[in-house]
Amino acid sequence: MHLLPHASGHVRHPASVSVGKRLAALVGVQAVTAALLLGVAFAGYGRLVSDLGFMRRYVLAPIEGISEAMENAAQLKLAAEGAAKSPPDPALLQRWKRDVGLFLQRYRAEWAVAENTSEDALRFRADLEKSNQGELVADERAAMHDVESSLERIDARLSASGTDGQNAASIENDARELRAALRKLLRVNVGFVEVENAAMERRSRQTYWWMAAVGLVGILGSLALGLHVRKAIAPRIQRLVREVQRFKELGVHQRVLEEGRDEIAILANALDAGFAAIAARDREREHFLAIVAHELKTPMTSILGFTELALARPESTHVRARALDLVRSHASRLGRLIDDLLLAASTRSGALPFRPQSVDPAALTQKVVAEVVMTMPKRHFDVDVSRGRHLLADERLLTQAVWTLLTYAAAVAESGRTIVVRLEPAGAHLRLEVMFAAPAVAAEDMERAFAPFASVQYEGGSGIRSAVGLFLCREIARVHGGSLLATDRTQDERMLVLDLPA
Amino acid sequence: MSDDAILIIDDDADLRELVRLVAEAADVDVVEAATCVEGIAALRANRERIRLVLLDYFMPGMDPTSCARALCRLVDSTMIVLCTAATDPSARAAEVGLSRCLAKPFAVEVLESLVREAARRRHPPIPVN
Repeated sequence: MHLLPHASGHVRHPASVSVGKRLAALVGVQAVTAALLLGVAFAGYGRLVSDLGFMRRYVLAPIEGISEAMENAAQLKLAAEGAAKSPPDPALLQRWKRDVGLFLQRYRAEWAVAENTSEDALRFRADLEKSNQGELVADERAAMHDVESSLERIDARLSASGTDGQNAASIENDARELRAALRKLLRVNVGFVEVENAAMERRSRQTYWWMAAVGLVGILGSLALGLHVRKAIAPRIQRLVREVQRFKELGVHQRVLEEGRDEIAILANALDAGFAAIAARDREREHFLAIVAHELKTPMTSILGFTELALARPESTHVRARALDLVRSHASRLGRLIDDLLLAASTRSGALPFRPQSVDPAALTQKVVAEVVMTMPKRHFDVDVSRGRHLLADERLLTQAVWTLLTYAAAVAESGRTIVVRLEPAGAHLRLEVMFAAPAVAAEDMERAFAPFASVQYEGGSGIRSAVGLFLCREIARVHGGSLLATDRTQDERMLVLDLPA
Repeated sequence: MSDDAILIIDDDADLRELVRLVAEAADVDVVEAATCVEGIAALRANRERIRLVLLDYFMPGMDPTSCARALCRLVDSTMIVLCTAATDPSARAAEVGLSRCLAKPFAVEVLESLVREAARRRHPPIPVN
């Protein structure tokens, strides 16, 4: 897998508003729209209820009262007309006149638009002005005045001279005028009904348009914000999907830089870091395999060359001896290297074989030191091992771990300095300490050698060689229930500590 | 001392010894160098008689590209053969600006043919008219 250069990557503009906030804004606009629609609907409904109440209390109720008053006036007129044939009952005349009078009092007190100071009456007068029907108020006032005048005249005639012929004719005339005044008042109130009805229709239309406007603005706002959110999110997610697909198919890591701080930027950068890590691990593995191939092929060149020469020159004892010596010296190191590779592969697949048995750690350590010295004759080891204790361990794994540990120490230790190897009990454990001078290598640098596919170069008896890192060694310690640590012993000295339960 | 020599620049002493054994049988001297710096100095000192340079790719000190460039300033690049155990020797050779390479491990007869080539450079065959 390859990491394409930065220049070929896409750099996104910063997205500072989080996806959550964008979606919250979208939901917020929709909620506000819904709330406004509800508000407008409630307001419209309230106005409608108010208008209907007004119609019932101040327009329809007075019309009913006017009708009754007109009936009384008609009775009065009919009684006066028939006075010549049958004299009317004065009590009845008084009652009809009184009922009309009571109606007038009530009308003035409760229903008269012209004289009422209630909130509804004031609003209705404003509606009358708006619909250019203001003269109805004057007509109402005039009609009330006419009714009152007619009643006063009838009252005067009934009180003064009873219901003789001439007086009855006057009363009949007054009753006719009273009816005419009441009819006029009725027409005024019918006019009020028409005005109020028109006002209700106007307000209903207003409510309708308000709701339509709010709904439209809400829809447009939601649409615009939704498109904005989609534009801000969808292409980026699609690009990420394409990147994942491309990485999956080709193993090519093209850097995707998201400089924003929103969730998609965080996701993209996490993916980028993940891909970069995978690509880096792939490069490390390729590098490691190249080193391994090199390490296997380099000694093979000498072995192959000398054995061919030995076969071609059977008379040369020198060539034969050198060929055998080369095979012997390289076979041990190549065997360890191959073991390292196989065990590392087993570790990576989670199947490191572990076959415990009783092992003498002192003898094992001394044997491995001798083996390493043969590979690196320029290195000097000072070995101090405590004898007498045995371990329950996998001898093959432990041998490999100690070999890797000593090879690594020899590789990074300062040239010409002795490597101290100490094996001693520590409570219920056994500690193998490898101490060496390496001023150029800090303990944190040594930690890098614990990564899978790490390698280290060293100067062997036949040139610069490479050894695998300490990843396998730490895994072997782990399967034994122990640990491997790298520490600074002094400013210049480093120490590797393999701790195993005894 | 022969008039013809091969310069082997390799940190692997075993390989240097192998080249010497093969070359001496063909009456060709071998000048050995364990590092590139040593190799450049040896080439300067033996420029007149060195017919072929065998250069290892992976060595301590100078990087292979710089080493190859320094050697190419002293002799024709066709005289330099990059010896490498890397997976793609041709790519490695191209990487350092060389056209010839030898993949490790190699058979002795390949080495012998290179030695013969070195000898022919000093004594080119006379063209037949």
